[in-house]
Amino acid sequence: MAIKYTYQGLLIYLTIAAYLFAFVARIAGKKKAAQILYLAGFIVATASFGYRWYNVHHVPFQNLFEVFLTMAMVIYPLSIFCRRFLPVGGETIDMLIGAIILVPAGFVFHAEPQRLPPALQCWLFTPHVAVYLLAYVIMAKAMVQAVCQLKTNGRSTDNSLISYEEGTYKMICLGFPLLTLGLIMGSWWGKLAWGDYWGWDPKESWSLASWLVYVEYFHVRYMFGKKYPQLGSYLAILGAVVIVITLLWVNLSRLFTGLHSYAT
Amino acid sequence: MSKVARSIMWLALAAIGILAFLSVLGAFYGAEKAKALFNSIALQFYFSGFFILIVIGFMRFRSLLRRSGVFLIHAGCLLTLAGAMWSSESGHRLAFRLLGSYKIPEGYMVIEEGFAENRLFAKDFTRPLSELPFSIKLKDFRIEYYQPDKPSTPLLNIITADEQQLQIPAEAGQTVSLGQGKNEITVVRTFRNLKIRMLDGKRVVTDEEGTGINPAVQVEIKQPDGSKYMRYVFELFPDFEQGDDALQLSYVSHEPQVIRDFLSEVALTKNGKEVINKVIEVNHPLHYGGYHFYQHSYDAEGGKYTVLLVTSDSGLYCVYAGYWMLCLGVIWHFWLRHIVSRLKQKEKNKM
Repeated sequence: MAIKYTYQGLLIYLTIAAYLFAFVARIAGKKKAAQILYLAGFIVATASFGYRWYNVHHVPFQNLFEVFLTMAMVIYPLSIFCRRFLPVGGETIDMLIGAIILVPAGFVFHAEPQRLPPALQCWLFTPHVAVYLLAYVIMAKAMVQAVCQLKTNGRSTDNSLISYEEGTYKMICLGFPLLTLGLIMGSWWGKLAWGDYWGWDPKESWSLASWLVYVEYFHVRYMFGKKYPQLGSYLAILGAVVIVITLLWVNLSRLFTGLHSYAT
Repeated sequence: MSKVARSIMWLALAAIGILAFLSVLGAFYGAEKAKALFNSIALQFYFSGFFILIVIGFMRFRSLLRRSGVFLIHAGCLLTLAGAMWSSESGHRLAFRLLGSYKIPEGYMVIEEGFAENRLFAKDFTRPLSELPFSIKLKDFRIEYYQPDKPSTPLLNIITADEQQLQIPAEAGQTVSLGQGKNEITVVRTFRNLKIRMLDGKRVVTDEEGTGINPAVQVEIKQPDGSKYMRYVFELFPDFEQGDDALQLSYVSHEPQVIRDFLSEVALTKNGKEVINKVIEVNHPLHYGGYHFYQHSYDAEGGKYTVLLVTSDSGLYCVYAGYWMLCLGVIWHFWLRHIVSRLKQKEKNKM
């Protein structure tokens, strides 16, 4: 753990503070203040993302530090989108997730700018990482809905929102195409860069496993309908756990050495 | 749901679950072992079974045919599986038995600058696999580096006897004191190519012109009693020590360069005629005669040869077709059809 005494670090800490205060305000029932703080957090997170981009001369998607920076930025528009169009809640937890996501970026991961190695200089770099990180945030929201479903036995307390089981399903429906696009773009890129569209690299294997967990979820839901909502919730949670392993454990553990080690 | 349909669904759940489990197992095995596992006979049977299961699904569940998104998703998976089996080693062997044409699934070419090559080798580069009906000549191999954002400052690193670490710019006149009652170090001169010559029986240190490099820095060490002595610190010989002052000095004349790209400029020749001229680089392979040629490795010491990875394209377009169908299917089924039906509903409500 190390504090970053840089402008980048300052922006990260300001975002964490804004998201945390938004969360506390929301818990305390100050809805308006919470919304303003959440929006302020998003603006600072966007500034932080832009600052990083300017510093490294490429879209900041290269390593875990940059990916976490971006995920903390996309959580706000995603919260708004989900409530407005799906309608799935969970903004209060989103505020907390936004702050938690930034903790490793602020205190753990190294932030030294790195040049893009030859393999990453491909037009697929940006869309491949972008769809994946968006999918991961959406699936994290799906997991929150699934946990709420298990804890409350289904019904949301907010009448303007759909049930937690429906919420889980809608979030997975939103994230699954992105997960599929990420997997396929990665495979296509693998063919261009390394000569094989599927090399069974640990990162590839884990991302296939996470995709398959959601495929299983859809088949279970098709087979049983809403008869066993808990089963679907457990699968949604399992999917999120496998995603965390794909994103973090594979890169940080020495257990899984492979072609994706530059992302550490 | 009928008993048969339910059984098919149970089989599908089991097949997906097993594949997820095997993927995780493969991640623990590592890429090489996982590749061997998924190319094994048992897994070939498993994938064939999976393929048949999807076909049965199409026959039993009419909704798979009626709903375009779900159809595209499942047909995409079917094509991807078929392409993957075709492009596997067993698939290549089967194609040879059925069609009589054999392609090497994967091999390597080592080509020296100015020479042509058509032999493919196994990964150990000793076992020849086959010869291609055309040859590839390496016209030029080069490595490109990133331009540094700012000129790097040469640095002198100092580690004292009590493990104190210091760093100063290696520029003439720069001085650092190691503390009260301790030595003082001053940079006297830096050299790009330090040479020692004997002139009239005396040692003379010069910075010679020419292509050779021997970056070094001359430092003066002033002791607490006022006496001084000189030391030379060589970048390329960090273990070269002089004196017994217990000071560890090292010199870095510039930051290491970061590789931006490596490129092989090649000419493909068939029947004595040049067919293609191309620069092969990472993410930009050459495709010809049913094979892809990738920039894989190079001579790191002299840059005199390049190593190309050669892979067969059998089954690849089947996999790509499957990918397209899968992508279109998920986007239509999970996103677009809902948006379209919502828009239609809106139109209806307006009327």
